[in-house]
Amino acid sequence: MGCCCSTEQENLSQDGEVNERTRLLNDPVSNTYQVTASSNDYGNHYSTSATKKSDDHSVLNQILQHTASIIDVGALECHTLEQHEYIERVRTYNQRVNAIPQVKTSNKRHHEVQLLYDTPATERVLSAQPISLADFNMMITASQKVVAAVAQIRVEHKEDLVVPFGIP
Amino acid sequence: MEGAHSTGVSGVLCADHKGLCLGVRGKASNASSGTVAALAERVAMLEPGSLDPVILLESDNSQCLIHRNSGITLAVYKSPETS
Repeated sequence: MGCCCSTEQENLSQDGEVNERTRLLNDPVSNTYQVTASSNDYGNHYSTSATKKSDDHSVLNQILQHTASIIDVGALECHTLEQHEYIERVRTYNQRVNAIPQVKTSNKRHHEVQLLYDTPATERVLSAQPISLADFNMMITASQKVVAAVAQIRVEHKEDLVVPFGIP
Repeated sequence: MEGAHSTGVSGVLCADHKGLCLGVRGKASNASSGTVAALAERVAMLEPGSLDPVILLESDNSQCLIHRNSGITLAVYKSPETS
């Protein structure tokens, strides 16, 4: 009767014909998968089990056609490089890079444009660890001690600075 | 200066604000006092208004730390393998 609690049983249609008690949505607790993708039959009656598998295939094919251009990143297998493969690739790439003819700059501006051209691995040097904290603190402390020590420099007055010579 | 010898320091140099060498120990040379003081003065101009920075000069086998404080420039020469 459409209420929350009722002692009357639900009178579902037994032979599949549509009436006022026919379910519009799939039964959520039902374990069987009910196909509703058939455009001709939707809203009128449900597909029988005989055509259920063919509809499954057609639906699947439609989905595959629509998603054929989409790359599923989650399904890609984990691509890890072996050590020897990595080394081989490094060697191959270096060969290709070295095979490219280098751009020659004019000699006049050679030293002006390329500052670190004679350093072999500039990125390794520049990305190295800067001054350590221990060294930094040591320098701060030592310079403070030096300043304090220099401030303690005194002139000890031993004797007169101007000494009269023996002038008669 | 003697206290710094225990941490792998191979030389120490002190210079005043005009580059005059106030003292030198170890492998540091008093001829470089002017350079050290000038370097500290120039580097302090990189960030005006902030504290004087600590300069680290690195070569393959040695380091030189320079710091200026109240006009007195201190240069400490270190060997990395002994630090």
